[in-house]
Amino acid sequence: MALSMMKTSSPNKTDAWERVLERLELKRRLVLRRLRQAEAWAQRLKVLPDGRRVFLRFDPVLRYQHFVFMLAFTTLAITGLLQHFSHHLWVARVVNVLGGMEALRVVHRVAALISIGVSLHHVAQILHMWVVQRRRGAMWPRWKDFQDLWHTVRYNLGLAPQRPQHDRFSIEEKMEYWALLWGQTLMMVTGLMMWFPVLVTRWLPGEAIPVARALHSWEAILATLAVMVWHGYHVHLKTRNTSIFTGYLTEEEMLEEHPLEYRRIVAAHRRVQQLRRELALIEAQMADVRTRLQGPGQPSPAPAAAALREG
Amino acid sequence: MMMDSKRRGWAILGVLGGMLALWFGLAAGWGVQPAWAQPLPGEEAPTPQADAGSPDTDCLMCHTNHNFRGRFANGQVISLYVDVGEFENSVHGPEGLECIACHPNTRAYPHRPDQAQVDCTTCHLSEDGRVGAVVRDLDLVVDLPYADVREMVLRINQECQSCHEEAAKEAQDSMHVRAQESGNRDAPVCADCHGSHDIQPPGQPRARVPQLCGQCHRPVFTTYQASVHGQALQQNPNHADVPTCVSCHGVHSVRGPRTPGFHNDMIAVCGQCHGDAERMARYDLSAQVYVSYLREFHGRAVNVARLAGPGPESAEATCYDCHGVHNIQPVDDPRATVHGERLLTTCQQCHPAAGPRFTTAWNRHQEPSWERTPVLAAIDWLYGYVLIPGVIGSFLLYIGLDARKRWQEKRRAVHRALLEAERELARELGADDDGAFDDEDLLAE
Repeated sequence: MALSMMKTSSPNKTDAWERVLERLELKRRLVLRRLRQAEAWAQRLKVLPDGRRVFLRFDPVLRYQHFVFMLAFTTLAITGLLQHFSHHLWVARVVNVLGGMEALRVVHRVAALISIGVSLHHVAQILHMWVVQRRRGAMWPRWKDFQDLWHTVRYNLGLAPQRPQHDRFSIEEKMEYWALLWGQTLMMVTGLMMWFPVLVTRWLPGEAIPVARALHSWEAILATLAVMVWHGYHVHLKTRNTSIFTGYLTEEEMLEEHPLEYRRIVAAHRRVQQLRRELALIEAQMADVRTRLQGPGQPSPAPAAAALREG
Repeated sequence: MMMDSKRRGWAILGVLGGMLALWFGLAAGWGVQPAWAQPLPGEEAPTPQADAGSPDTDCLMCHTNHNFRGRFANGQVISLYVDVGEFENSVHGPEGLECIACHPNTRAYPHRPDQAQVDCTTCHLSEDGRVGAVVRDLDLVVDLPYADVREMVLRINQECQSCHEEAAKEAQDSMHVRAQESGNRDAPVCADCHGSHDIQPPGQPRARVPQLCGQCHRPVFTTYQASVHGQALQQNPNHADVPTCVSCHGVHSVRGPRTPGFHNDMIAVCGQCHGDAERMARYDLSAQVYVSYLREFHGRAVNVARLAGPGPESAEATCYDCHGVHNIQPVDDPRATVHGERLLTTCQQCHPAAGPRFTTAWNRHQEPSWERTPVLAAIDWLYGYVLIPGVIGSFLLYIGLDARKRWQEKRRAVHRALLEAERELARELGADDDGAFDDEDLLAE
């Protein structure tokens, strides 16, 4: 190879070696980035002792966020809707059995604080992903999502030969996630306005409070119905997907629900070994070049790159 | 497994359907009051039974004497003259009640051993010195078996409940009876409000009620007379639409502001008239005030607490917390607690940090409308007619199509599996070359 044939170390030659080192460094970084990406996907594949392959869908942090938010949302929906419909005698009776309006408001606010906490944690994660990791995330809308929606309807009407294949998140999942982001933002803002009307009316006109109240109750009804209908169908009726609690999907479930992600993970798993070999090679070459740059006086050690090639 | 998931699916569909039905039921049912929530018509008070005893003429022999007087143990002397005409015109007159109906302990008249000063000749000595008819207008003072006049009233008053059981029972929990029991002898009893021999039907005219109460509750009476309700009652003493003292405090069960339930119940008392469109139209007032209050932050809490029955009072404001208690004035009257600048002071009673804009942070007792609150009306319209039906409707449509397709697929898969099993069986039994299983194969066996 060219490396082993260059033996002199005149100033010109040294510059040439340094350029080679620079190019190698660039290449190393590129390969390293690809390796990290491939590793990130490949990590999702886990081989069980019995040989079955399972796929990580939600990491423990997402699972805790879903669990806590699920409890908070249910509490908020129940205590909130009971307050909203308390002019009905039977609702008022239920409210009184549960300890009265004041008690319900306290529970509602505690649950609200918990849901706000989880939301802020999630937003911090998103910002970390966007700003530090420089990734858009798998929930970012794509043109394919809207095509998928249309194709699903066409397939269900018998107008298309097959269902659209989903990547990490299907359009149904993305829609619910976006709705939750928007809904939670609206509920947080309007809820806090109702909680602190004295403070809010220092800066905003008084009419903002009834507006917040109307938005809060309507959005609550819409969100509750949407969760019952959409979430209920897609994760309870259509399939029995428990990965939000267990974290993992089986290979069959993965192929059925997220075939594109499945292929991506399996390919990444294969790619990791290849990229690791490439990286080792580049690093060995860089070590060789560095040895040569240190000067002619020293005996040159056996080129590591050659050893690697032979091995 | 398959059956299980199918049954589970139907169960969840059922729950979803139930939730939807509940939502529409709730949406449609605003303002509907169940019939049994209305007060039951009061039972008829038992008609007083006139007990036949000694004829009144015996009593009136002395009690028509203008100079007949009694002396209490404390030395006070009162007239014992009874105006028969006054009694005949009272509610008890036409009932034919006799004196002993209310004075049953006075049967031993007048020859009681403890009244030594009374002997035959005291009364029956005629002018010519013979014992005969009662001397007219004989100047006569007898000792009465009471320490003072109040003791007499309290003792005789106990006889009222022998006929008026209901009223007496109601009064048991009243502030007045409690005051009486705690040792205040001046706390009013029946006779103090209704009178004794001259009892008239209650509340005739209605303006008499605050005057009666005002005999003791002077400052409150003065405030009430100046209020919008008091003013109207002064102009028309029989004004039917104006609350008097008893409208809020009850008749015999006289309740004070600290009686359990008083604070919460008051919204229904005010709402009875101020939620009545027909009645409010007479005075050009909005009848929305009550319903809109019930939808507000304060109203919801108070109403729920009220429906729970007497218990801890809701901390939220009722009508009188903002509008004043006895000094209620129209909203446009400068004296009103909710007028102009004074409204902020009223809000600050509970919200000390409230600023001027805080006073507008509510629906101001009106339902949202396009003219007055276009933003609120737009929100109601957007969610009620567009977003909720649109979003949930399209969700249901999308899901319906998807579920139908998946059901078809599952049925087709089952069908295919059955066909496959059939072919398998045919092969095992030794099928014809065509691969189909038919009767010839059976015959060949």
